[in-house]
Amino acid sequence: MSDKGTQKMLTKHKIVFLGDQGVGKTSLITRFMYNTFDTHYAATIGIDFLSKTMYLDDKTIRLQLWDTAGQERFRSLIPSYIRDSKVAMIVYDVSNKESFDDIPRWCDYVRTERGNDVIIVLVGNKSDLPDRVISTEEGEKLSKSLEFNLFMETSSKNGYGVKNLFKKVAKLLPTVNSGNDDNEIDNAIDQDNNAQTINISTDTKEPEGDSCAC
Amino acid sequence: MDFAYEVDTFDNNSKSNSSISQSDSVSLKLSSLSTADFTKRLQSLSLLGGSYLKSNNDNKENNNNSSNKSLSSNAKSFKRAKNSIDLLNSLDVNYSFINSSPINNNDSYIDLNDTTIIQSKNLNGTILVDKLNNILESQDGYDASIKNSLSVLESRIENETISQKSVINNNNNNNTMEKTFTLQNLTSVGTKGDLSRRNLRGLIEDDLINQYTSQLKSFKKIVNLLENLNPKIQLVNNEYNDLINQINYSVDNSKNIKNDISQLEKKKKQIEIKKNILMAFKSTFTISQYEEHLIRYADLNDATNSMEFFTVIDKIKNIQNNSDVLLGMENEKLGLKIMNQMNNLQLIINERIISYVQKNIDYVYSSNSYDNNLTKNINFPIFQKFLIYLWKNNKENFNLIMQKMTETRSRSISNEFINKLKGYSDEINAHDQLSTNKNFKNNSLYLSSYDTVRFISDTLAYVHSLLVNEMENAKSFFNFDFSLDEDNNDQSFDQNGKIEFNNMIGEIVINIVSGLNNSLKSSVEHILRQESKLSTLVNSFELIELYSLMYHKLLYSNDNKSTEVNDGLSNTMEYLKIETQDRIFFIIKLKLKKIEAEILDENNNNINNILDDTDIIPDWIVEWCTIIDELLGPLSSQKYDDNNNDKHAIGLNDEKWNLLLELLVNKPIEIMDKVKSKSSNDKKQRLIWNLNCTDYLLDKVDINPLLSTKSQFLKSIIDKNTNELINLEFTGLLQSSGLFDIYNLVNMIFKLDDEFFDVSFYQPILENKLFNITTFQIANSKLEEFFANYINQNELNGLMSPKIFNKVFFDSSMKFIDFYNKLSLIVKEYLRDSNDNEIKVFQWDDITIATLLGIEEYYQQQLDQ
Repeated sequence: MSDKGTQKMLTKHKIVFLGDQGVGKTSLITRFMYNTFDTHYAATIGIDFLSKTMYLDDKTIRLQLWDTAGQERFRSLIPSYIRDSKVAMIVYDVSNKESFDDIPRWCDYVRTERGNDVIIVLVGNKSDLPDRVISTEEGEKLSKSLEFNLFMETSSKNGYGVKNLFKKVAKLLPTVNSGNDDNEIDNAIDQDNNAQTINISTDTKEPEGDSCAC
Repeated sequence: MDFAYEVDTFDNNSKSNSSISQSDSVSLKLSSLSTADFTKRLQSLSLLGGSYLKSNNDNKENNNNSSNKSLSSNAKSFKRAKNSIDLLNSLDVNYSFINSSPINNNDSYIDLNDTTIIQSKNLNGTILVDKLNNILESQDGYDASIKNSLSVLESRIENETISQKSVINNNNNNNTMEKTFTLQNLTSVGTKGDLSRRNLRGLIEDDLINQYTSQLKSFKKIVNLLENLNPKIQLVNNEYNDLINQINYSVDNSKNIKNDISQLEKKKKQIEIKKNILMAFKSTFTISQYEEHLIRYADLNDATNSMEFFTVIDKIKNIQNNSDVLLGMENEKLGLKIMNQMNNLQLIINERIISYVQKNIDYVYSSNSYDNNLTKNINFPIFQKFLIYLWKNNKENFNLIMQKMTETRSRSISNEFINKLKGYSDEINAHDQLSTNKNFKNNSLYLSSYDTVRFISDTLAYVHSLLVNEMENAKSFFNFDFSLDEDNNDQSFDQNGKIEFNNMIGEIVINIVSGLNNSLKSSVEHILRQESKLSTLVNSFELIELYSLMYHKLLYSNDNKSTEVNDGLSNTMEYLKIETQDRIFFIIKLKLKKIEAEILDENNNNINNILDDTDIIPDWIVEWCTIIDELLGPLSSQKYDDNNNDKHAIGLNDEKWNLLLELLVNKPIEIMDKVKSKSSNDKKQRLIWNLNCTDYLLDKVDINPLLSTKSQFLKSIIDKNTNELINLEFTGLLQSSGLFDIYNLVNMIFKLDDEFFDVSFYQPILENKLFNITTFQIANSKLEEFFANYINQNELNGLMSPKIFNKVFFDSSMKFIDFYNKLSLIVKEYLRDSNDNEIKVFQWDDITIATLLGIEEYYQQQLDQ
């Protein structure tokens, strides 16, 4: 509503965050939203919702972030939210092998609901931890094998890669990527059939000059 | 006259610049003159210079400064000329040659006036006169430069004099002596002198007259011209006078007109004032045709038009405010008329704004949704401005519009929701047909699998998404930029406005989503009514409760301080929770009724059959325990909301929870009791069956913390039945051993159960006929028979619970042994043969009995204690 004159409506995109309990889905969102990190762990109850407007190049998009609970008892809620999401962000903890091993299961959830009509992003969180058990290469390999659209490692604690992740995800979105038609998602995904892997190493710093104005 | 001559000579011969020797007489005289005298004499030249200049100035009117100066110089020159003459007279100079000079020589004057000559020699008379004046007027006349100048002048004069006088002398040589003589007489006394002086005076006077005449002659032409002009001037004067007269006459005659004019001017001023007043009035109290046109027909979506529209609105407001002045006037008709007019315009404005806002509000609001279709070209800032205007000035209509918008939006999402539900139903029907088709694509919101939990989850997730979407829409819609309102300078108003709009967001979203209430209620209720599985119902309840929590979090988050009253969605969710609870109760009651009906059917002979096999738990109890597991198994002890601790599982309050427990635990016990009472089996069997069933139920209750409160109840029932069974078993032991009557007899004397026992209490037993040897011998023989098969054929073996079995077995046996011991003591004390000797009627001691009953270890432990 802030535009002067005839309004240009914001394009909204649903992103659902999936992953085992405690992998840092909420922290990732909090880092992106408020650029903060809370060391105190509080399990998500049900599904949380947050939204943020992103200014990317000459386009403005609104990301609706659906933060799901990792606990098993809330698992039944998740399919309903996957169903109308354009992006599924599957998060694992690089220091927790179980969470990494569960990725195919999460992928199945998404594929069952959306088939190939979805952008799947694999996120290896907690990259700041010294006792990592999943290497970047392993993450990349799994991402490629499961035909994910993007793989990135992040650290919600120090903010590493978080902005970049959302920026990359935003660029993958069909309206940002190609045109104005939501139906073009197929094309967008086709273009990205070869999973776009962002080769990063944990000891590098967050790239500067991020044009994301969020 | 000699000066004129001298000057003329000087002028005429200045060009010659010859070195001719000067006249002796003159040269001598000049040389003999003192500087002052000579200066004075030369000063007389100014007369000529002045005349010359004067004539020059007459011709050159532009040279005003020099003419003024020359006039004053002339006066001085005349005076000095006179002085010079007097001086000459006093010097007794011979001026005879002067007399002989051609006084009336016009040529000399012409020459004198020949300015070209003077100018050509740079001998400007005025300059010379000025210089000479300066010299003469200065106090010291001995300046070297002045002397030099004078010497130059002197030499010139001398030269001129010589050259002139050489000619003159030739002509007048004869008269020189005579004139010299005459001049000499001037100084003489007497008549001769007087005559001479008179003659000289006459000569001078003539000379002066001639000189003046000659001078004036040059003016004659001018005079003639002036005279010629005179008649014309006279004519002009006459004309002038005539004109003056005419003017005066006209002026006299125009007095009336003047008055008229002044009156008209006054009127004009009045009219101008009136005009100004009217103009001011017009601008203050009326609006122009263009402004009225704007109000009636302007395209409000156009930015320029809308800006002008608001300007007109402000103007109308001002007019309305200013109309108070008019209403306060004596004649208030005008004020009333203007007020009416403005009110009418205000109504038109309001109608137009309301119409504009109403027309576009649905589009603007819904344009934020996912499925927006931007076909209209709405100027959103302008729309917002109109909305703010309505909110400020016409809150009633603003509320009405918002209400209508909310209703429309609510209807829209409700229809959409119904379509989704319809799609779900259609899909269920189509699923069977299309399940084999691999190309079948799920276009519906919901999955095709018919699953209550999934349906409820999907439905509530849809509502959740809708709620989020509406919240975003509302936030975006009410994100007003108050700076758009130019006449709004009150910052506190902005703040209040923002707070009010923020509060409005929640209310509007709640109202919009409340459109789903009926559909949501009916659809979920419908599904719940079809569901008979308690676990599904419990899961459904948990889902509803979880979504209620999530909705509440969304609607009443920190950003949204809307009041938690009359929240349709929360009410619906609460209703669905209660519906689910009721459904759970209904299912439980139904199952109980079904069991009761099946078990207690009079035509059903199964009861006895069931009780025949006391060690088999009836199916219905097993099933019931499964139901309990099914119901309470999915419930986690962890509550979602810490503030909701007053609620039990499935959101039940104390009353309902107790009712549920009654149904789950008490009701089966009642059924058991009913079965037990209806059975024709012996009491012991029934008790054992009852104990077995109750114990089974207790096992299930004990492992579920939610049923912990019922555990005690079951235990008390078990205890009661156990005690009853112990007594029954003890009685059985007594009867089987033939000591039952003796036991009763002993108890009649003094109750054995009392802790205090003394054989002496039982002395009255001697009076009873039963107390004889035969009785005890029979008892002893019966004991032998009974104990031989007691352990193997004991019905207590049907007790499934070892704990209960042991208790019944040990307690009844211990009780019997205790009685046996006491009876042995009584018999030993009082039973005598005819010789009064002690008779040993019981062949076994208590240890042996305990061994025969199978509790020797237990009994030994009791004795040790």
